[in-house]
Amino acid sequence: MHIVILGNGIAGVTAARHVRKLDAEAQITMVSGETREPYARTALMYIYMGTLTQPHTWLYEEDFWAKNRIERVWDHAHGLDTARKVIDLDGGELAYDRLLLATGSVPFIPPWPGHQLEGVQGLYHLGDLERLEAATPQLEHGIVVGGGLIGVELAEMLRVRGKNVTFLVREERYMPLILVEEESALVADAIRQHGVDLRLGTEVERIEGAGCVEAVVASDGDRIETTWVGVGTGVRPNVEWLDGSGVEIDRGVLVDEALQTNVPGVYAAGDCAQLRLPPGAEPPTRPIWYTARLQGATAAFGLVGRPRTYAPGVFFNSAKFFDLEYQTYGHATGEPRAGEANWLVSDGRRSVRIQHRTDASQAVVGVTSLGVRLRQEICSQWIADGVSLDTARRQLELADFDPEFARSLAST
Amino acid sequence: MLQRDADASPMPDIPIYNAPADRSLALFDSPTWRPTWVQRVGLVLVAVGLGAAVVAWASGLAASHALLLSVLSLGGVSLGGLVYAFGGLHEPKGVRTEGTMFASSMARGAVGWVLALVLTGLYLCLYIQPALLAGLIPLGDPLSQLLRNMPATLENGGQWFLYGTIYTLAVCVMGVRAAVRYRHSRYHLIRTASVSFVQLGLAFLLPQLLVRLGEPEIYPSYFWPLDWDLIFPSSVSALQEAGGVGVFMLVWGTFLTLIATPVLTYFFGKRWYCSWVCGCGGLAETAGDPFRHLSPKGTRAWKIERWMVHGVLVFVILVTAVMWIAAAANVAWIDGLAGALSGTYGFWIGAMFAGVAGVGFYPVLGSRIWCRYGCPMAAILGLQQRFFSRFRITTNGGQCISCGQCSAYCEMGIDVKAYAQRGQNIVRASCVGCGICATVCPRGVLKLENGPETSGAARAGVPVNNLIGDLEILDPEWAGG
Repeated sequence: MHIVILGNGIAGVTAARHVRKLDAEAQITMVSGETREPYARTALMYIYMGTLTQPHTWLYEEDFWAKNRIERVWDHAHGLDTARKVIDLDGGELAYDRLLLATGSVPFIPPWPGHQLEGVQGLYHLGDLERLEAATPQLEHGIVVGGGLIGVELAEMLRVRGKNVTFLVREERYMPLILVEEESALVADAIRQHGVDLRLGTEVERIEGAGCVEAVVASDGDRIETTWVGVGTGVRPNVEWLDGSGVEIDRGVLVDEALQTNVPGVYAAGDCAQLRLPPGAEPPTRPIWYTARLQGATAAFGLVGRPRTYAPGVFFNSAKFFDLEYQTYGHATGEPRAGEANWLVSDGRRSVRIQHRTDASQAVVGVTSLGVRLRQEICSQWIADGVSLDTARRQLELADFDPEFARSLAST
Repeated sequence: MLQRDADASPMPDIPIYNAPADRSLALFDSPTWRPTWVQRVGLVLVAVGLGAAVVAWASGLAASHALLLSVLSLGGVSLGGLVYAFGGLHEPKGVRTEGTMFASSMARGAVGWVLALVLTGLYLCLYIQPALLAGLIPLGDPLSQLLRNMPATLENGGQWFLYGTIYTLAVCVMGVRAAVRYRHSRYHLIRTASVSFVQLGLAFLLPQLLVRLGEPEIYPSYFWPLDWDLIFPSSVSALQEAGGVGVFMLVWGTFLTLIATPVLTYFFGKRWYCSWVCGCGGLAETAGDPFRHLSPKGTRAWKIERWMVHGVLVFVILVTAVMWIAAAANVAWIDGLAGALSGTYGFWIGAMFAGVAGVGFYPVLGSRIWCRYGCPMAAILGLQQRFFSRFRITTNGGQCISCGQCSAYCEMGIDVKAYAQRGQNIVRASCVGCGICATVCPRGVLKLENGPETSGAARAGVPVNNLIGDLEILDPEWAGG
């Protein structure tokens, strides 16, 4: 049985690792056009900032791959023939028995006038980092667009390297879909404290330049001269290369509840996968690192012939806005939904919010913290069990994951 | 062949440290280093201090101008260091590791190598040819007169007084730097205050004042086996004869070795000593902090570490046992063996390993070379921490993003990420509990804890991110599936 995994991001690597655990015999080949050495994509920013070197970001030591007999092929796939079960690589054809598509996504650059000029880029691949590195010496004032997790990373990266940054965010406050007003304000403070010119409610009108970026005209009328525009407005699944392969595509690769595509034996996981029937409140596509890891683990079962239903359980995610850590569990929203309310405690620098139902159950539906570390096990349990707000508040100390001697938020 | 040339660089070439700057000899041209004017003043003072020390060393002028040159050199470097450290207050609170891998001084660039050579050279002189330091020794004289009411000269081992002074200044001044750098964490503030206080009070001022009072020079924060000859027959009888303070040190040292060590390690792990009390650890956590990420990583380094550190432990036990047998037996060849063994340990382990390599190699191999590969005390504490303690580093469910900062900044070279990304707690003999992994983690995944469990396996726990455990923690129905 030859199992081929296309993509060595966290979905692909997790799948490869779990296939080996489930099946000692299978031949495993993991193909990537990006790097031979699987690395933590989440750490790209730290390489640019001089916090880490590239080898620090490698997921495993060299021994790991030999010990687990996972062959890594550094080559680019540009075609798939599901009838003949072969992948078309630059170096020739590669035959498979079962296949995992874990090709991730590519930055989505909105079609502003001038969006194709040189110097406009996202941050997803190592190549993006190389382009930014090449643009850095000439760069004095960078423009970052898009108030999400990548946008704030780009802003931090440039500030650390001594660049001025104007940060254009379309929304009137930071991440209004998942943060309440107080939280948005804390994040905005954290960003501005680091000298970023954060402009909320401001969009890109157009990008000017001849060949290369020369300036950005913002919706507030300001024309800002720059040689580089970082775009963090989202990603789209990297699936264009699958046209004509026989694999059914919508936004991403369409998969069933076991992450299998319309072609038997071909699975998809991570950013590139689109669930036909998302479980619970899951969206069809979810380009989040943790989600990719969970899907990679699930797909491994299908790859060894024992498909299982994808059941991600209580959602969680985390990020860091400059020095402000963020964690979220369950279904915390920016505005309480009908029949829900928020309990929030804040000292002006950090906050904990518990979103709960307003009916008799007072059941907790989501938890979000800024600058406070919470224990995942406890928060997930609250949400899974639907415990009441009172119970959760009583157990806040149990959920505390801040370092020893830290002053707890409750006592301030 | 599908496989591309495996020897080809797996990653594009982005500098590990600021190599172009090194080549152009613009050694301080790091893309992230922007000192304020306060910090520039600090650096100028440090330069003045170092200049004065070089003048004193080369000219011998300190013999006649001890106070002036002492204030200029020791004072200049210390004051400059403090000014530079406080200059860090202008940066926002938080983890400020940016630029570490670009800095020539911190990432094995030219500055780092020169620093390592100079430090190693000074240590070699100190242990082997102190006469070469004759020009520097009088720099300790004014303080020696003040504290001990006696001069510091080559004849009375004045180089050791000067060394103790510089060591203590290094811990305290760089302790201020560490405190400013990690000021957002009370754990680090308290821990840094603790090591600085112990070094200044118990390992410097107290022994010098005892000398002034004609009492034995004791160091109450060191005991067997780190203070390897404390319980040799000759030391024991000398302390007994001294009475009072000497007997106290014997009782105190025995209490620390036999009772305090196992009890405190059971409750708190080896950190109670290694990163809160010990002077070697104190220097590593303060002066060594800029170099912590240089510790060799990987399973190979781990293997070497286990053989070496436990080998030294066996060695020190052997030496101590043979010394007592020799004292009891009074047989010539056993006396000879005991002398040879203790001489070998004293020179190769005590001087060359703990001193010369232990500190001299900071800028190349990180700040815990001695603690990790050589310290017999760390070996004993580590064995207990691994098998019988409540201390562990807890991993927060499946939150690890595998970025690698915990492993990179672990001064003991532990691959923390390997555990964290499996969702497994970290229970390792070598962990000194400095807490930096938890601090630099950008997702709040790690926490130092003294939990209820004691056995290694129970504390490590089941890897939650293992196999379908990825899903297990989030969906209890999957458990056991």
